[in-house]
Amino acid sequence: MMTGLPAAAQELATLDTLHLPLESLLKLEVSSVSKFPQTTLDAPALVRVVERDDMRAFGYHTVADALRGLPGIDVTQDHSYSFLGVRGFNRPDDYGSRVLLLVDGLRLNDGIYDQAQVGSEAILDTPILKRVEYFAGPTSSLYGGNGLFGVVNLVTRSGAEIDGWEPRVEIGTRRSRRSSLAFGRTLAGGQDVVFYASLADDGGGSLRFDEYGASASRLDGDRYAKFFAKFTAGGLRLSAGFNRRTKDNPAAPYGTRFGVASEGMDEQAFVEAAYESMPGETLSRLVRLYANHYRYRADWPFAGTPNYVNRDRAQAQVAGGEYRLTYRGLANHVVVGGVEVRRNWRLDQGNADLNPAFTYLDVRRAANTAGAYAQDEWRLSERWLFNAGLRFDKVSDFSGEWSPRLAAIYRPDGATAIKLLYGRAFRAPNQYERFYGDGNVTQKPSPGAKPERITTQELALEHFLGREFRLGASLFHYDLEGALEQRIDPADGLSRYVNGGNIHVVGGEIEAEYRNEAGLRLKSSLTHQEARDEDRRWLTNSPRNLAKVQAYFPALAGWDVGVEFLGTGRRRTQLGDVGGYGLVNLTVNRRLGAEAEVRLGVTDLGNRRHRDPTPGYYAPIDAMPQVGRQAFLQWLGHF
Amino acid sequence: MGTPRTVCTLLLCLAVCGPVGPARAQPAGDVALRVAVLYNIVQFVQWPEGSAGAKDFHFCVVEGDELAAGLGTLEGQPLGAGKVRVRTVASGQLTGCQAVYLPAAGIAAPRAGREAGLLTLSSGHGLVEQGVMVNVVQDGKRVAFDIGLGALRRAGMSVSAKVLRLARYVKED
Repeated sequence: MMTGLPAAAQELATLDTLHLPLESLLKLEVSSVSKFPQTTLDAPALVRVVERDDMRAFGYHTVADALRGLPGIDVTQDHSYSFLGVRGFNRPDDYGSRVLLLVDGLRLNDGIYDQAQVGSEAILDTPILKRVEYFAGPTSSLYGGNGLFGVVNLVTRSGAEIDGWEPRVEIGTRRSRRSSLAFGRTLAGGQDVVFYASLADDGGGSLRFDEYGASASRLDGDRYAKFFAKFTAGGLRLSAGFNRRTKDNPAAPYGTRFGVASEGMDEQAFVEAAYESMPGETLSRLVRLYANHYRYRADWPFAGTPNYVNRDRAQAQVAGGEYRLTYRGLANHVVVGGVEVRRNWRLDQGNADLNPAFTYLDVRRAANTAGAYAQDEWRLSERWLFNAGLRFDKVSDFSGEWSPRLAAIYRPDGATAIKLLYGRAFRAPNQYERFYGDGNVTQKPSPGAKPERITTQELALEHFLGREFRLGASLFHYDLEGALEQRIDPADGLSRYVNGGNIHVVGGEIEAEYRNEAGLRLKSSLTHQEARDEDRRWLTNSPRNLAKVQAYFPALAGWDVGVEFLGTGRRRTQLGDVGGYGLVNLTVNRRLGAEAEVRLGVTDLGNRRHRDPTPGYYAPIDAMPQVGRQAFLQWLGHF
Repeated sequence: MGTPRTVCTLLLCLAVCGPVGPARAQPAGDVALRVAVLYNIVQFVQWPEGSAGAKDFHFCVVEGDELAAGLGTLEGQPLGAGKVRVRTVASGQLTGCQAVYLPAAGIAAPRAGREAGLLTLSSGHGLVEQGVMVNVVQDGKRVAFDIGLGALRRAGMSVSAKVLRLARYVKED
């Protein structure tokens, strides 16, 4: 820290910055104050950040890996996708549509399922990420639909941060191979460029399914290719990303044949142009134009005479724009206003048998979303800060939605923040929930489904003890009205989505974190939450208790060691329950000179092979067995 | 999936991506940044007529925190028509000072000797409420400052609209 530096070094730093204009000084980031991921205590939300250091220390590959260590988040996995459980809420029949996924602030939930893809299916993986930000709580007041429980923002690295070439190669159990290459530079003219490619091929392992009295061997392979590029010059940013992920599912969903490979492909692409400028001394402006593409295809093997393959497909093409003004001309206020329009000009879903060919579903639709929002941050005194936001959205086929948010932040001293947060958010039923049907075999469309709405209150405390120790605590109450759920229609035995009632969640969380000068990091959190439906029944797939412990020891006998414990309590399943489990993940890292390092990681060290509750379409599987202990060996260069 | 070919395209693109720019700026140290912010603000303050007799600017520092220690780096820096002269003082001896930096623990002291034309600066939580005119604080990753505009005006001084615009919080009376 600065106090420990010799005076001469301090002077040098001073002279470098002394003659910069005030505007520039206020934009500089401080390097030395604290080793904590720096977020302002004044943020009008609960903000958690997983920095690049942490992603490396704990050997994270996916966004889901990074989020899983955060307080209150549990991640489940059904061998097709990873799903985020937040605030005790992880409905087995929901495709992750209640959390928003952003890349550098751009919304990337797809147009069919509104899914926040965070596992291997995510648009980006960790080597290109500077940090993963998680904003807990409803965010419809800024972002519109789907931000019921929170926002995950993936912040990509800049060319200046990469500054050269970063190759990575990796081998692992299940015959897995991963490689990536990042390149980044600041060009002579000040433009910043980033290119990134990442390839992975996981051959799959052996999974035991007691329900079938058999194992599925090498039927859960996972392959992907991801590309990303970014160009920044002045206030302009151009970025583009692509991902194609193919995943085999060994668990025979929808009554398909067990022991036969099924393959699902998810593909996303986006382009974005964003321009930030200051048309006046007190006014800044952001203009953003974007387009994205999503495609899904899955082949499901069914038994028959002869056996046949049923194909699910979906495709969405979306284009949109946003215009935002930030006004600072009023003392002690920061006022933000904006409009956003999004055109989903292609929303296709299909379901058909391939051979013999028979089409059950062929829907082609389009939809529009338009929203306008305003927010004011008002600094009433040095100790009180208020933030109020309101957004109006109009989604095709549904009436308008108002989403307000209020935050009061009290700062009794420089090291403490007490926050009282209130918010409302909505989610319109997605295309899949409304229009998908498989020809009345198991599921039919739900044209009557309506938006669900959430109202939340949260009281949070954050406190620093010196520069090395941080404490956090929060109490929360979430009310979800008209929750969209898959239920069987007694009239015909088919499932469809209905606004199934009200869900209440109450809970609390405490966390403690220690980081010192030498790089030692210790972090732990405990969450207790009760999520119940209107009949006071405990929700399925909702752990009452979550415990996380993460420790990173730099230079332990020449190795850097990261170890984490992720504990999840007992959960209800459709038919019964699954016991709690604790995962231990261990990562050791050794530097090989200045230009390379090797990393060895073992996940689920104790080989717990826990099980996650499944939706009904996996019957007879009530809880999905997980892969258990895996290991990888990674080499990472920097030139 | 055509992946190898795509990688080749990417590599080709990288090869033509041109000259390498200068190394990026190092992140600034916390004390250095706060010193620079105070120095900048002082340049936008107007003292009452006649109070700035000498050409040089007399910047007094009451010792007691790391920022007080860092302010020594301002010695000899240009300010207006003259140079900054940094002088370490006891909190009661402010005669001849145009600005005084007070550590958070010592801000009560100058009240007795508060006079026209003395700019008070400090760094800590909630100090503008206690009469400090310029309070520079750490706000997340960045440095911010609050202005006690009422106190500043009562002492016969004014500050430019630019500073007020960039302030995180401005306290009028």
